[in-house]
Amino acid sequence: MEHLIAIFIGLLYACGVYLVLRRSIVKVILGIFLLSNATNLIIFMAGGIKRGGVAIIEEGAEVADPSLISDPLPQALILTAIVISLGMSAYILALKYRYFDVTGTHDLDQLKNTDQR
Amino acid sequence: MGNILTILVALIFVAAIFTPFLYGVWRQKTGLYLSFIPLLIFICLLVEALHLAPHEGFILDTPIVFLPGMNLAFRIDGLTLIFGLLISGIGFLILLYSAKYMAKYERQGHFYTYLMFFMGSMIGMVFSDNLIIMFMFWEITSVASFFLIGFDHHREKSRQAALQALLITGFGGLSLLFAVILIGNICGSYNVSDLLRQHIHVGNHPHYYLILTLIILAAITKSAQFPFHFWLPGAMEAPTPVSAYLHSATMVNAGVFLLMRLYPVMGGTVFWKYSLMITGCITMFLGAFFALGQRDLKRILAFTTISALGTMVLLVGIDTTDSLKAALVFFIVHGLYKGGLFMVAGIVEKTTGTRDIYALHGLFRSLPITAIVTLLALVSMAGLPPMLGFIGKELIYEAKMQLPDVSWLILPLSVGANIMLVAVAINIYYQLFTKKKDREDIVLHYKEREIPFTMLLGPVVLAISGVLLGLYPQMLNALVSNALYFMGNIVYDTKLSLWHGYNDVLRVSIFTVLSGILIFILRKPVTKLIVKMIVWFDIYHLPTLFTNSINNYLKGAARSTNRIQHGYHRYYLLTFFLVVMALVALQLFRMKNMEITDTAPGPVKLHVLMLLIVSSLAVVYTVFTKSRLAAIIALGVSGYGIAMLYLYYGAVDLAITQFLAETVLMVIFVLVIYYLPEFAILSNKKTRLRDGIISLGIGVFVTLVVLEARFLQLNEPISGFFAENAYTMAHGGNIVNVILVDFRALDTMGEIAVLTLAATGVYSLFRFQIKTIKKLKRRGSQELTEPDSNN
Amino acid sequence: MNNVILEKTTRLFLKVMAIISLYLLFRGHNSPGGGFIGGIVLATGFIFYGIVFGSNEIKKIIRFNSRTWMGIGLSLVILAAVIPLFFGEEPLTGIWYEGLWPLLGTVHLGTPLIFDTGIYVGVAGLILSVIITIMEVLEWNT
Repeated sequence: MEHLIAIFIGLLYACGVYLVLRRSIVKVILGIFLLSNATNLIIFMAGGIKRGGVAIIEEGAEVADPSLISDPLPQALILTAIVISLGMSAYILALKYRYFDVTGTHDLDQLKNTDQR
Repeated sequence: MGNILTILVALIFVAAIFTPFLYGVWRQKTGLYLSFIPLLIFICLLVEALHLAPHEGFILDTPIVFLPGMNLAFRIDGLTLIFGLLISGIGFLILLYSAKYMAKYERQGHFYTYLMFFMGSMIGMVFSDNLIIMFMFWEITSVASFFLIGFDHHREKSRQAALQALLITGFGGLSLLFAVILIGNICGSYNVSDLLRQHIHVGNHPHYYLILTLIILAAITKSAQFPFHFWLPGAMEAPTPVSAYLHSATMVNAGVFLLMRLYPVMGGTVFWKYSLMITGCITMFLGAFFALGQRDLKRILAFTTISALGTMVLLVGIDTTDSLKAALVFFIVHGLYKGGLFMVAGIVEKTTGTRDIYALHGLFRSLPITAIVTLLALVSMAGLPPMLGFIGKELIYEAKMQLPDVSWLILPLSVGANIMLVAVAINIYYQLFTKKKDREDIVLHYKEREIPFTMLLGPVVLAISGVLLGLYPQMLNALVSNALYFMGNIVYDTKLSLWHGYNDVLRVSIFTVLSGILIFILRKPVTKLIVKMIVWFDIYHLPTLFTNSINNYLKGAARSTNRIQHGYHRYYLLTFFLVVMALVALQLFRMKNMEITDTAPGPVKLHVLMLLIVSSLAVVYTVFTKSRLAAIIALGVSGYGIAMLYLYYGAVDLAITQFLAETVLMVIFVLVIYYLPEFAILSNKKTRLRDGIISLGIGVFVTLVVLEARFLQLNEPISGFFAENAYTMAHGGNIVNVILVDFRALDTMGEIAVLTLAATGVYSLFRFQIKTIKKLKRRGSQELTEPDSNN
Repeated sequence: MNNVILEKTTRLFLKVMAIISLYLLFRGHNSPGGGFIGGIVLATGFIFYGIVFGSNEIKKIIRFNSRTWMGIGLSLVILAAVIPLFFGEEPLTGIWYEGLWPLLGTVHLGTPLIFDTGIYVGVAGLILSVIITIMEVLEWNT
């Protein structure tokens, strides 16, 4: 099962990288979304995944058995990452919209010089 | 006493910082008032010098800490006192002098700032006990001199000269740092006093030659020795007070000081001897030789300075007690006469408007005081009695004669150099002050009476002290003995006197003077010859060579930068991805025993498989679809698929967040999408194929890395701690949430701040647009409502 | 958009979402939920509302500027970070109050709750701010 997920991550990365290498800026943005999702999955996988085992301590119990629950630390990290990437994506979209508004082009190759209008 | 000295040195830097403001208050009097600081320092040092016991040096500790464990401590002994006295004394005179000289310049406040910084760091460099701190001051002098030399920064030549000086001395500074660190490592201490007390000598250390090369590099770049001498004549572009200060007794002597200071630690070996002697000899001879062919008074003086510096380096290299003594005395001699001569050059330039000695004549009548002072200084330079210069030169000859194995080479060269210096001295005086009958009188801009006394004071004081020290040289005995004690660890009773008796040395001296006069008489053919040779040398014109090499270097750098920083976004990424891929491949190759096959793959659940397949299809569709909306929806599908995957593996919070975030993102995207351009295929087929292959490769490598990382067994996962303590310590059952709000709350706080920034960013991107929309709307609604009201 | 059913549903949806988000926020410490999730749920309700009624209506409901809400959230977070200092603890340490209240039974209250509320307000404010800004630019106001 894990091997399949690893291959899935690889696919996500391949598609993300391909999109990021495009000249059209909309595709680059899509690529960034894909890459951030894929990276979250990598972190999740690196924690060592287990079937079941929600990371919640039962009512009345004091401690949870670490061997039964899935690792909570990467989950917390990814949760943060998801929300951050949400904020960042919103910003990129806004930036893109504004960029297109001002320059009238969506070709990144037109954006070679920094002082360009 | 010591405390006062410390405070005064600190005061220099404080004054330097506040000078631009002080200038606003004091205007033309700034130099005058500032000069009190070096004067007080000079007095302090004089008192110290008079009280100094013959074989005693001491440390003034200060509470100023530059680096951990490195206090700024002042070391007071004969050597530092000799340098310090000259630096502060001439500094005082220069400040007085520049108060008038600089009167018509712009940005005088800056000028005094640089000058004070230079003065302070020079004094700091000489007195600091710690080698690292000494290096720091050394660098400050380089930077300050850059600003001083390039003070007329609107002139191209001036800027170039300043840059040249900075590059060369900066290069020397770097090698000094390297050497100092090596010395500190070997000896275990950076403090000069420790090194001297323990009598450490690094001569037997395997790194000795490296250190010595670095030290010599530092010294010869700073002290303008061949082949780095050319920055000094270039630096004559500076205002005259700067030349008078930097290039007589201070900056250029720093290298000589360094050699003297480190002599007990490094000196005395064969390599030390010969490298310094050879450099010194060449510099001494070339300097004097070139000086004969110059017309510009300041350039003449610059070349004689080079010659004098060469002499000092040579003397340090000869490495006998007598030669060290000669070097010290000659340093004083040179500081006194060269400072005075530079100031005279400034006066001549101010009054006549030119520095070309062949364009001037007969100034004696109009500038009598200047003429007499110049005469005294020139006599000292030529090494004639009764000036201190005579004693210096006698000592030098004596030192050189003591070395039978090399004196056959050194002696003729130095006698030759001295002959030329005598000729130069006579020539300067003759051209400037004697009247030529066939030429018209020079019209002066000012009369001498109009020259303010502060400008004349400098050369007069320096000339008089030259005479006084020449007549009563025993005043220097104690200081020189003390300095020698700390340099060579020799108990030596210095006895300086004007009259040595009729011996070989005196005979050589007389020969020198007579030949000098002979050359002066034959000056026309000789100068013609020298000018011809200078032209011939100009093929290998070092300054141009240097500038060209710097320019070519910059051009090369610009070219390579343009190639690397091409501005194509995707090629940057491509480079990045390819490099990462190569690194990963290398690492995977090195971990040959990959254990993927060892662990049995978990059971493949059919519904998860379906999930993965659907998500994969969605992702691939995102890449290849031509519809923007379809791409976004497909992206959302893959995101939901990932959320399901989280759910399947028991990360409930994560799954919810992923679902919601994906939804919000899609909504935002869909809102914007129809205002974005349609997808267009901008790259050609070849590029797309290449990118496809690269991205597939990266996908494969990422898969391998994930498989590898999954089996990473950390010794003790930290997650156990959270599982055990979430409820007992943080009173929460949802471990993920507890980590977010309690254990790792700082991260979350930072995240919220980042999100706030992102939202603010979005708002500020659109702020103007929203405002204009609102304005338009208001106008539009007014137009709409107005007809209504009319009705 | 003069669809009565849609409008009624939207208003109801917003209220339900708001209640759900609060529920998720408060139970977040012991069960799935929490500030992030609650905040996004609340924002989703508002987004739907905004799409139907326009961004000006959202503005009317939230009263303050959405960026002010972000500021409030951030201040709450900082408040939760500072409070422990008054108890002589390191910043961000959880300070807990445990007591027996009439009607409610045993009550656990602590600074992490303030912290989580801050995140809730902050995240909701963030998404609202972005959405409102974009809607205003696209003139999706009415």
